[in-house]
Amino acid sequence: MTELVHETGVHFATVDGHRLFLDLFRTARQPGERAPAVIYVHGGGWHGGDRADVPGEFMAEAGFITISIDYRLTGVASFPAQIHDVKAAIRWVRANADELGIDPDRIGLWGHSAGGHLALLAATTGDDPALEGKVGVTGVSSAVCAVVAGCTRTEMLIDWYAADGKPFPEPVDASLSALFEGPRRKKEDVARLASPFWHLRPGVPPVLLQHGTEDETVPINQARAFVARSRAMGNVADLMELPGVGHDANTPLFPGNPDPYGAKERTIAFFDAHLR
Amino acid sequence: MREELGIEYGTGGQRALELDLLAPDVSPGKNRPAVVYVHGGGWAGGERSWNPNRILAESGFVTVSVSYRFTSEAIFPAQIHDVKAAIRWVRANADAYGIDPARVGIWGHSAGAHLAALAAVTAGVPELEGEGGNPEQDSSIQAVVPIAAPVDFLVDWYAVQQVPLSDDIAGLSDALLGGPPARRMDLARLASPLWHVGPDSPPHLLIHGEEDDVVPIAQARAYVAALRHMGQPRAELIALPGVGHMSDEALYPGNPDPLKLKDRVIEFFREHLA
Repeated sequence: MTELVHETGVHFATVDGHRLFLDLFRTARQPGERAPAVIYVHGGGWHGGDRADVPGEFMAEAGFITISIDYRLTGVASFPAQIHDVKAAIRWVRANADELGIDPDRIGLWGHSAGGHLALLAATTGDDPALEGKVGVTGVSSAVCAVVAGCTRTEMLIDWYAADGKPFPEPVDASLSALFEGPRRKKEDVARLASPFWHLRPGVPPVLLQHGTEDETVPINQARAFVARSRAMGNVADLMELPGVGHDANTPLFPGNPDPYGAKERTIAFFDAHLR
Repeated sequence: MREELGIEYGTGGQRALELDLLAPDVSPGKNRPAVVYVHGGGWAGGERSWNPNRILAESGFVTVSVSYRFTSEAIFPAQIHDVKAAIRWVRANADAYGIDPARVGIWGHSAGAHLAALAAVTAGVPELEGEGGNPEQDSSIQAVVPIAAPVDFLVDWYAVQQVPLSDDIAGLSDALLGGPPARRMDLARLASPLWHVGPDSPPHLLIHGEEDDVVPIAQARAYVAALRHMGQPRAELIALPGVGHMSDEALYPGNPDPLKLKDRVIEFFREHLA
């Protein structure tokens, strides 16, 4: 197995006195190397989780500099603070590409659950002034080449649980109310702005969604809607459906866990295709 | 029963639009609720004579069944302009037919249910009113029964429910909007009842077959959830197990009606048009 270099606690921005850090995983650096980078956004319902919770090893071993980032959680600030921080991290990586040995034209995004949502939102709104913010490095592009998002909410206005004939889960309602500082439907403009689905247009970067068919926290139906819409616009969009899997569809990506559907391989193959 | 066929109710484009009226014997001075029926046929066909209004007329409602322009003649919003002209005609002729203009309901099947739902949730939306006649009348609706209704053109509900979509079916909404919904976003949104619901939306009773592969039921479920979420608690869906797109069959006189849909529709209109 390749020896990995793990750099932790790199400061990338300070916002309202709140310091944001990131961690890097990489193989030993070759002189003059310009490697593709993948930025990971952790999950946790926008209110919890940790950047240390990243299945970064297999990605770094495959030759992608893997970066896991902090973002402000809803206990600190509501939307759009989270997407501002993610975009600040992308801009920081691009601004520091030379020093890091990263190719600034080959940056991808990756995330799980709430982090998948932010990754997908950032990917579908590259350089969109409405969501860019002013955190950290500015004046650098926040566009990315590709995104992989697992167990991810793509649309915030439609009741996708009801569409499946199921009740809206209380904890999800609480997470969303905290994200929007109020009930979804009363915050229609913010909820629309926070919905990757409503940002779809011809030319958004390639998307790979990974989703368990039995996910009760985020139903798979809205992943299907996202992919169908994006394809109808002529974009590259794929959905890897994981039969019988719930909201923990990223478990197989962590070292030592069984990976019956080849999720690691599909993720690498996707980034290989779109970041090389 | 009083039946009048081919009453001219307004104009669509340059031509006359007609409706059929079926009502209990009119006693002067009586103020009865009225219900408008909008037939289905993919916005491209069907005819107003095929309607289940009789069950309502026999229960004391003044009913009309309306024709409207098909997609071969004009794209959206021509269809909703015609339906709203018919609603305004009902109000304008309330005295003549013993109608209470404050109590007007609407129902329909499939494409007609789409237009019925859209009319119900867009009272006062100027671009959907049209110029088909009786502009002084209001086109508001007090209760609606959409049966097998497409309620949203922005989401691919076939993909959501993994129901195969034939070119024939996709072609119907493309023809309505003048192109694929993904390329006609603004018009698709304007045509989607789901994106018009609000606290002022009237009571809804939806009827939908769980096996409907022409109009997948998931959108009906999402629509009812949206109505309730927006503050209209009187929103209900009767989901029919094992039934496809012909979920209106039980409403026609003489047809088997194991779930008593006739009674439930009559009861719903009685309650909300009382």
